[in-house]
Amino acid sequence: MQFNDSDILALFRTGNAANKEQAFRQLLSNYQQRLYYHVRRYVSNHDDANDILQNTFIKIWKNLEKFRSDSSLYTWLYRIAGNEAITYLQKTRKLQAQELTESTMNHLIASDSIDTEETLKRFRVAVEDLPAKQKQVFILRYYDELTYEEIAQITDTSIGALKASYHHAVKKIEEKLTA
Amino acid sequence: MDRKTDIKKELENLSSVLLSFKEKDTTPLATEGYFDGLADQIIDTIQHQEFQKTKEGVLSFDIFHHPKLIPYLSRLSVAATLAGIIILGVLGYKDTIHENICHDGIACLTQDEIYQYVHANSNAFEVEEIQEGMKIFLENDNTSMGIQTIEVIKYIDQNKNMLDTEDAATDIF
Repeated sequence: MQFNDSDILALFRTGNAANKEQAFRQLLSNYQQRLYYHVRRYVSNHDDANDILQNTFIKIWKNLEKFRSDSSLYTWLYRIAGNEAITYLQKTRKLQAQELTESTMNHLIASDSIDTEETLKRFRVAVEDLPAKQKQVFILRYYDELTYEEIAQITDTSIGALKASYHHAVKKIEEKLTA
Repeated sequence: MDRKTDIKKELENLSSVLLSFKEKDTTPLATEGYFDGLADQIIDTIQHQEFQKTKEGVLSFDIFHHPKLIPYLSRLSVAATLAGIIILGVLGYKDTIHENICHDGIACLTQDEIYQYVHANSNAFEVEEIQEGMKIFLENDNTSMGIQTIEVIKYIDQNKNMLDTEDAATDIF
């Protein structure tokens, strides 16, 4: 039986331990893949994405009871996942940027011609190098294909600022690819 | 206009290069079977955390969460042990302590008092005078306090082990 967001919330709020677990399992089933691939775009490897995802779901469990349905459930989930990813990146930013840039660039220099795969790697490095908030907007728009209204709910930012942010992000990546 | 078309159109206006990437780029896939066990893994972690939280709440007065209690209890136990040893020691030796009989006026003196007296008066008497003075006690059967040879032998035999132990205890060099 497939539960929608409001079913999950209603079941979770009954307060019964078994119901809470069932509701949470349903939430995991509905969102684990979407949130995994969302956080996977912030970080370069699976282990980091797994850590972020686990922390995300633990936070969701702890705070789901307080969720007041002012926004839709999935934007709230994206918000938590995004914040977790950004916090993670801020902690490991220097190390990760260095690892990515060095490994990828060395590989690029070594090859005589830049084929599609290499260009894609270069593209990913350019996304990695974006400032945290800009990266979040880019990922939500470009990969997750959310509307600006949804992104505004997730990031608590005005639509105008989001459009500008997305525009800057796209231009920065393009510059790095064509340089 | 649907969402996808809207996003595509916007990107087309911003950067045709990025639009071409959008069709080619794929996010790396998760390892096979990763999502199968993920829910259980997360729920286990949550339950473990909740259990720890509850345990901490129940055992809020657990001595391990009150580090100052540990040294206090240790000191208390050491003091109690020492007190116990002293009491047992006193009870154990109580029977072996005999009251002094002061009829002759000598037994009431401690060895230290005798030593101090002899030391202070070492020049006061000649050996002959001392022997003369002691003659009455040496000749009098009462000065032996009525202890028979057989009793002395029995006493030494009974306390042989104690003497051996004491010798061993002082034999530390």
